[in-house]
This record gives sequence, structure tokens and C-alpha cells, in this order.
Amino acid sequence: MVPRRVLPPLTGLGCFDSRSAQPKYGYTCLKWQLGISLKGDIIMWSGPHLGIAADSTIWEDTWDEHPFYGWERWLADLGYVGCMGLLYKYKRDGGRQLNRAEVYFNNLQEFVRNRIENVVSQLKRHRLFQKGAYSGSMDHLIPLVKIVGHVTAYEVHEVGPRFTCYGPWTHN
Amino acid sequence: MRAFYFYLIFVYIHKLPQRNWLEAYKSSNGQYRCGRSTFDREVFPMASALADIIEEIDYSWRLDPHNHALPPFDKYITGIVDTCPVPLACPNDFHHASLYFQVSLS
Repeated sequence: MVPRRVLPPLTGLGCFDSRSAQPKYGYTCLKWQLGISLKGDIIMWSGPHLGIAADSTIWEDTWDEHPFYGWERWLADLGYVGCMGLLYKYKRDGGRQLNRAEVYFNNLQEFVRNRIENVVSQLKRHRLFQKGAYSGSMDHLIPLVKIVGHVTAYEVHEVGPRFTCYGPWTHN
Repeated sequence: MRAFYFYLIFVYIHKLPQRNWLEAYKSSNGQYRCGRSTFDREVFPMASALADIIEEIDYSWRLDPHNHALPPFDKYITGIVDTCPVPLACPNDFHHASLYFQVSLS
């Protein structure tokens, strides 16, 4: 599969100048995509992706990195609406009010999906993920983030299931 | 010495963005130290090499028979996906700055 958005070469950019940051409008960033199992283990890690890339674009461009069985579905937020293989909440299109069943499903979906926010917060304990923390070279940042991601994955997996999970039974 | 450099990778990640601790930092037995130039010359290449080989993520964990939530997500659902931003200082170059600018992170 040919990615629709080809990343420019990120290495060799040299140092960033923190004086030209734009805190008024938001912040400049790179994104890393992560996937977790329902137990909380990090099972997918891809990046860096451009800060302006939409989550759905990243998901489609990295399709080769997360092959699915035909019956398989993952949970995602509303940034992934329309993406193949994902289950997301009902959306209020054009001001349409959701019915009770849709609201109930949304609450259930959000209840389970929030597990990834918990794991992301585990990652963000590192100062590397704090605003204004890093202003060095891109050549250094990319390996450091990968090390943080994989070490966090090891930590989460070794400690044991982070969330209540059930089984054993097959997925399909 | 290499073990000390290896340990320094994790100390550096923990203490970011501060780097002024580097010259004063010693190994626990006081035998080893690492200056800034040595750090760039020895430790960062080691961090890059570590990043190349580190593999603590197993994609097959999603198929664990205990990887289930309560209904209606007790079958077919194997994972959850999201993105995680790493804030950067704005690049001087306008073209690159426009590629990294994210307006809806709140």
C-alpha cells in the first residue's frame, strides 16, 4: 500500500529555536500513534507522524503496520470516523439528537475506550512529553521517544493487567 | 564504562530538558563521569543503537484469550487506538513549522 501522505525526511533538521514557538495558537508537535489491548498492554507503536496529520490519515497510512483479521475491530474516538476496522461513537450530524440507545452505546464505548487515555497519561509522565520540554535535535528525539514507548510497554506488561479483563474465550 | 553510558541514556530521558546536571553526574562508585562532548559522541549513538533493536511490543498480545471487556465488547474487539503528541519548539524554517503545528490538542 502506498501511503497517501509521504513524510519528509525528518532527520538532519538541526536544532529547533524555542524563541519562535507559537504558544498563542497551540503548539508544534510530532505525533506517535499507539494501540493498546483491552488489558492495557501497548501492542502497536508507530511514528513519528506530522503534527498536522489527522488521526484518521495516520491510521490509513500505517495500515501495513497493524494487519487485521476480517472479524477484528478496534475502538477509537471521533477523530477516526470513517476508518476501516474501527468502532467509534455515534455522532450528532447536523444537530440531530441521539436516541437513548445511541447515547447508551456512546457511554459504553467511551467507558472502555478511556483505557487508552490512561495508558497515554502513563507515557506522559516523562518530561519529554511536556510542553516546551524538548528543543534539541530531531536525530536525538526519535530514538528517545521510541525507547520511552517500548520501556513503558515493558513496564505495563510486566506489572500485569492494567484494567479488568475477562476470559478465556475466543475473539470471533 | 559502557554500562555507565547505557545508564546515562535513561537518566537523560528522566531529567529532560535539563542538561546542566551532566558534568556533575558521577557513577555510584564515583569512578566514572561524562562530559557533554563525550555524551554526544558516545551516549547518543548508543541510544540510537538501542532504539534500533529494542522490541518490547508484541502485536500478538491482542489475541490473548483474556483480552476481553464486558458486553457489548466481549467479542471481536481486540484493541484501542489513539495518538500521542510530543510538543516541540517551533522550527525556524516556516515550511517545517507549518507541518508540525497542531491547533486542536486541548
